[in-house]
Amino acid sequence: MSEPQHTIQIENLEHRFGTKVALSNISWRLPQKGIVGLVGPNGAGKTTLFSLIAGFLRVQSGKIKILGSSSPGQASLAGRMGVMPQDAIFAKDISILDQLLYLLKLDGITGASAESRVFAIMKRVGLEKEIHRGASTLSHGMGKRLGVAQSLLGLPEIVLLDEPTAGLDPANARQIREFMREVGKSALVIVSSHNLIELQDLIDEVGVIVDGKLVASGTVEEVTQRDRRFEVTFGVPVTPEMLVQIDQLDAVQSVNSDSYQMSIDLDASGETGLDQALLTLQQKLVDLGTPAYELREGASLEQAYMRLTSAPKNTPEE
Amino acid sequence: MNKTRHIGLHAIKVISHSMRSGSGVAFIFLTILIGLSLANLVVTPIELELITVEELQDSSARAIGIALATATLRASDGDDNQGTLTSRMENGDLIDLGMWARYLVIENPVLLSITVLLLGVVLPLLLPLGSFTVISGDVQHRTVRYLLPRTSRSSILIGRWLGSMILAWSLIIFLLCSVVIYLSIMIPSESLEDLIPWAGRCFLALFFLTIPYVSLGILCSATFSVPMVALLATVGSTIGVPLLSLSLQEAWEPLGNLLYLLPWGYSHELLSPTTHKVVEASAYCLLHGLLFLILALLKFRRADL
Repeated sequence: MSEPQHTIQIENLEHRFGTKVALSNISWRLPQKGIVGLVGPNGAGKTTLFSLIAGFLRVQSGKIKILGSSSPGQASLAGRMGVMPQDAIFAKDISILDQLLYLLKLDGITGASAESRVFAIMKRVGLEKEIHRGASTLSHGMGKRLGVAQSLLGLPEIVLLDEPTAGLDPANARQIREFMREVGKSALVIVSSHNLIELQDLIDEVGVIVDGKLVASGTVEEVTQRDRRFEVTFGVPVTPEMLVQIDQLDAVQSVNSDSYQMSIDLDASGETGLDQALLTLQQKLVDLGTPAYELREGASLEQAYMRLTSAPKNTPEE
Repeated sequence: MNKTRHIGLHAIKVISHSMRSGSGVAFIFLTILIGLSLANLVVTPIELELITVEELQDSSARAIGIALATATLRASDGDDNQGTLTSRMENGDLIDLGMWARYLVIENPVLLSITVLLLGVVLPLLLPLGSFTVISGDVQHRTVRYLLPRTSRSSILIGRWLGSMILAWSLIIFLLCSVVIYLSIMIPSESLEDLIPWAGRCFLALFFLTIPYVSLGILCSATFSVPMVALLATVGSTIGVPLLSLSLQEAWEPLGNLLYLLPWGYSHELLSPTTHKVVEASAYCLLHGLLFLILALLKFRRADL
């Protein structure tokens, strides 16, 4: 069996800003395509990692191999990576159309095909009416969508999106997510976001950064396997006795209730995993005479995130 | 091939953006305004018949020589008396300056020469206006981050340097053409036949003079991410170097060589009557420009953007 090919390989990456350690000993291999989420608290090092991969910051220690190139920023990578930086702004005194055409020219695309591509992508992000205006007239959300549009202009093999849906209304956020899904079928999309519910439905893999360290990485299932949250809805109000009975199960880590609902965190780390844990829970509910009207998977990524980001404080000796 | 194309694209972008951005328009407007004002300043005494062309030639030959002797730090303590300097220019070790001054104002059209000499002093202070935001503006607003995935850092820097140079040269051509036409109309004694060849020489001199100063502007723009700091650094060093060398020379003469950190010490030779001195001065300008450009490249390639 051949080893899976990796678009980005990061090995022992470290980065400092003066004496402050921003990233420490990061090693991570990212797949050829799909959507990868990068999550972590504010100041954890997500944007620094993005900036190093994009070549905005120079690698101080460690290695980043991208598409076979030994380091970011090499000429061979030009046009193969699309980046939506978090805090970059477009020139205010030039029309959006001119700016995007200029970026496409750098990608080697000119003339009518360049124009049609700009119009198509601007329509895709819902900004087709703004194309002849200057960037200064755009709202914050529009600016975000323009950033996404420019990152996908040249049909890159890798797309880095730093909080692309932050500040967008639900309809526009959904539009961008659909766009990312589409792009993720043929390219690697790395997206950082604080919206974990949104990410959970979107991403194939995830990396969790805390205090400059990559504390977990892999598929969403791998990262969230230890604990899974389920929302159980009953036909009768939840009683304290029910709570005690459920809490006593080995597979249950914690349980909370709210009227007709229970939030149950299952421990799926046993040999038989989630299936056995769920079976035990459902059997118990039947035994109690309170079968579940609805059983829905809850915010497991959020739960895993909370566990991972709070772990160093809770278990300093580990 | 791709790199050359990118350099060309960045150069065109700088030129077209200069026509629309605030600092670019200010640079073009100020350069034209100040350039034409200088020409007008030179011509006005003749127009108003306050002085004849011959009198101007005579007085300016001496004045230019004295100014240059002082500016290039060749006037000694005993030269407080203007007569001593004049005699040194006519007979002594400053004879080359005397010959140079006469070549400019007697053998060639005096009004154009004086205008170009003044431009040679003013341009180094104006040129930073055209280059201080070229790199730092995009770094400050992080706009450069949209470019970095698509093009190399060296293409950006060299392209923008080239664009700034072309813009500066275009302005100089425009200024010289305007001055030549103005002089030929206003002063009948200055004929186009005399003016055009000399304007060509003057353009070459200003062409080479532009290279180190634009490169210095690019170096400061690549070093400082805040455009105003880049502008202050460029203008400050352009003014500061001659002032510093003049004052330090009095403490210890070799410190006067600080003048050669910038082309101030040799740029007058770009209009020398001797061909080899012109070639030497042009080569120094090129080397100076190349040095600043290489330093800017090193800085920009290593910078965190």
